[in-house]
Amino acid sequence: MNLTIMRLALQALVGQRRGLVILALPVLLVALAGVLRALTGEPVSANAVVVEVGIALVVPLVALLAANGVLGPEIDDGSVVYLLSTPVSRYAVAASKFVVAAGVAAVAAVTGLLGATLAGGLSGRWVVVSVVVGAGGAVLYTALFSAIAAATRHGMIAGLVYVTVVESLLGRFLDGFRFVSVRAFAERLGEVAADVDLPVADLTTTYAVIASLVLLAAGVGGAGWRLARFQLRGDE
Amino acid sequence: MTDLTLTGVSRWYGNVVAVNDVTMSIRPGVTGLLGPNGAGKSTLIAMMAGFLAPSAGDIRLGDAPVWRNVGAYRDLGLVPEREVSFSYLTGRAFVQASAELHRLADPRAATAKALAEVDLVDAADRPISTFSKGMRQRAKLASALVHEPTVLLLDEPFNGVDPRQRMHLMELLTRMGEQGRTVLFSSHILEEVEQIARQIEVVVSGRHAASGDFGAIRRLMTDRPSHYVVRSSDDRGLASMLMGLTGVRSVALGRVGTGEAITVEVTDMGQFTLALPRLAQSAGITVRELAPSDESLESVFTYLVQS
Repeated sequence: MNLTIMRLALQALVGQRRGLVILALPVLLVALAGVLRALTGEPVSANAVVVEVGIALVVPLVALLAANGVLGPEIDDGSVVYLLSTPVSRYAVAASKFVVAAGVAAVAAVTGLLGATLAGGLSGRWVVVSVVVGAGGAVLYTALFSAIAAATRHGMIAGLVYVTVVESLLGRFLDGFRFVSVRAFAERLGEVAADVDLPVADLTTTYAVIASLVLLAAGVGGAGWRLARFQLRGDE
Repeated sequence: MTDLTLTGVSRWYGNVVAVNDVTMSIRPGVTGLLGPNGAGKSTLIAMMAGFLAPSAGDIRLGDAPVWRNVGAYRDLGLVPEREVSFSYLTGRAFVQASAELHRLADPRAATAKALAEVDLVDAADRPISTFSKGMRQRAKLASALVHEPTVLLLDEPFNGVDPRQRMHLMELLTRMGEQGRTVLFSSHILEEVEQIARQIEVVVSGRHAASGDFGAIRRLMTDRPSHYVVRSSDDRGLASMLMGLTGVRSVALGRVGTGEAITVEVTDMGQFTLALPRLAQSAGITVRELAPSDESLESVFTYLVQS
């Protein structure tokens, strides 16, 4: 870990327009819950608001923006060379950037889910779900998107495809996709922590924990591996 | 840890060879890496700085390889051609980040010293987004200098820098060379390189074309057969007389550009320019045009590659 890298990553995230979008998504979620409740006059449907919009969309999107915000642009435009021409281990650079991205994503995700739970007038169990699935999901998604960003130049697009096609579309019709779905891992963790029923079928807790650890290792390791082999292309 | 040694270094991208079997040793003092655009200078510097793996060959700083060895950056400073995109930082914050990443004992003091060295004290607390090209260049330099590296690599440092700043930068590089540091900078402009480089390495089409002090390179470039195009009232008559001159190696009649002309290859430029008017006058031939046909830098480089 390197505090300077972490500080710079945080400045890159919150000091630019991307930071506003990361902030806007949770705010929209809370607003949605608040408006629905005000219109109907009764607690909102937890499944519709917290699960289908919050966990399915807001959590992965803030993680996608955060992960690509700290890794993508600097590698694409080559300016990461200014951080890498120093005797700091490339894996430490990757880990520091990951911690910042995961932290920012987790704060945004938990704030959004928790805010929606409270504004929507849901029960105390959903507070636990918001914290566990929000934080856990954000960290795991950040790891996944860091690994994707390390593997391809099109991290944003590949990440969006994963969220919309693999998880939302295919995951809905084909049960098997739960084994490669970050959402399923996070929801299983939420089910264990709070006594609620999230639709994750027969994914075992052990599998969810192991898959989560593998994902974390792949995310940080993949980003470090990429940085260790970072090549500066000349303009010629 | 002051010598940068390249042994049989090549780099290719698919079928394109960017750098072809380069062997050179960069020693303390200022070295200029001279070559036309696209010659492979940036690729070479990227490899020397450990930001590109050579496809073949070996690059060492002292005894240690530079590729995948972050420890090398304790002794190495790099000023890439690439722009600083940390526009949300101030100049001082950018340089200080570099000082901290180098784990210097007193990053604040080292930052102040580096900023003073590049003459960027007044503007240091402004965001980089407000900097001019020259100021960005100096911020990059300060960030590369902050840990006082023994080897400093600069990719096209004079590009887009105004003349006053260029002079200041040249003085700075000269001073660093005199302090015993190894300073290597790339340029495609011979005059720039001549002014400050003690040693010049010429790279053309990815190959190491020539090496030496600027006197040696200059001689290679000026004492070479040069080509002239002559148009006159009687090309054939003049051509036959020119062939009689000792400094003339070949004479050709043919179409050049829009019309017929004589192309003369001359080994002794001074003798030729004196003799031509005299010959023409004595034979009553009017010379309408006399022009060097290869004064561009590219032709000079082509010559260096062939020699």
